[in-house]
Amino acid sequence: MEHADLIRTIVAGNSGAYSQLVDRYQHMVFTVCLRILRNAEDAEEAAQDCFVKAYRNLAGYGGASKFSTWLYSIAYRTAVSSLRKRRPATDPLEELGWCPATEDMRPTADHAAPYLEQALKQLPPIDSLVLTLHYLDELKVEEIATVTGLGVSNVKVKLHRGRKRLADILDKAMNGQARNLLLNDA
Amino acid sequence: MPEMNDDQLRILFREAGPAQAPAGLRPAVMARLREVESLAPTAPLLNGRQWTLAICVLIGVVALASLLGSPNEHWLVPSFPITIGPWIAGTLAAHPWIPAASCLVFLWVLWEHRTFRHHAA
Repeated sequence: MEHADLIRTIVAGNSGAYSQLVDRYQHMVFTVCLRILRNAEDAEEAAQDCFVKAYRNLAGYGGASKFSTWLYSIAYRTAVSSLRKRRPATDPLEELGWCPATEDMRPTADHAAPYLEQALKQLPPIDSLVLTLHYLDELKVEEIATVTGLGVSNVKVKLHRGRKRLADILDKAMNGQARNLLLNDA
Repeated sequence: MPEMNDDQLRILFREAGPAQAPAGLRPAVMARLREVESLAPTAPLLNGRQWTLAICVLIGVVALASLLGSPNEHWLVPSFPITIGPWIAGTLAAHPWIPAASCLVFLWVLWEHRTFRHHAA
C-alpha cells in the first residue's frame, strides 16, 4: 500500500495498519535515535516514543514534506529531548571495546563497512546523523535541514567536515587501506 | 587535501546499512498504541456553563446547611477554633445528605479532571 493510502487508512481509524509504517521505518528511526543517543537501550525507548508521537500527530501530517523527513524530524527531536534528560553516559567506544585495527587484523578496503559504525561514533552525534541521512537514506541537504532544524548552509558545512573526519578516522582504523578506496585527492 | 569520494561513500553506507532495530520494537510500539487508545479522548461531561451551575449548587448546599444549623448548642455563632469543630460535626450529623452531596460533587470533579486530561492528551 502506498504511503498516502496507508496514512489515510490509519487516520480513518485502522490503527492496526500503523504496524506496516513501523515495519518500514523502524530501522531508520532507530538509527536516527542511536546516532544521537549512542546507546541502544535509550535509542529503542526514544524510537518507541517517536512512533507513538507520530501516531498521535498523523492526522496533522499534511504531506508538505516527504513522510520520512517528517518522521525523522520527530525522531530527532525525541532523541535530543531524551539526551537532555538522561544520566551522564559512559564512553560508548569504551563500552564497545573499539580500537584501531592492528597489522594482524588489517582488513581489505572492500570490507570497510564494519568499520563505518565505529568510525561514526567518533564524530559528533549531529555530524554522524547528517552523514547517515545523506548517504544512507539519500536525503537532500534541504531535507536534512528540515529534520534537524539546522540551516542549509550549516548542514553543508557539517557534511563537508564530517566527510573529511570520517575519511581520516576510517583510514587510521584500516591502516591506510581506506585511502585508495574512499579518497579523492582534491 | 583528501576528500571522500561521494559514490564510494554512498556504497559504503549502503553496505553497512542502518542499525537494526531490536525485534521487540514494533510489538512494543503497538502495545503502547493500544494503551493510548484505551485512554481515548472522551467528551467532558460538563461544559463551562454547567460547571458554573455545579459550583453555585455546591455553594447553595453549604449555605443551606449553615442556615439549617445543627441541633447542638454551638450552631448559631461558632467561635473559631474552639467551637467550630463541634458545630461542623453537629451540622453534618443532623443533615447526612450534605456530606453525601459533597462527595458526589467531589467525585464529579475527579471524573471531569480525568476526562479533560485525556482530552488534552
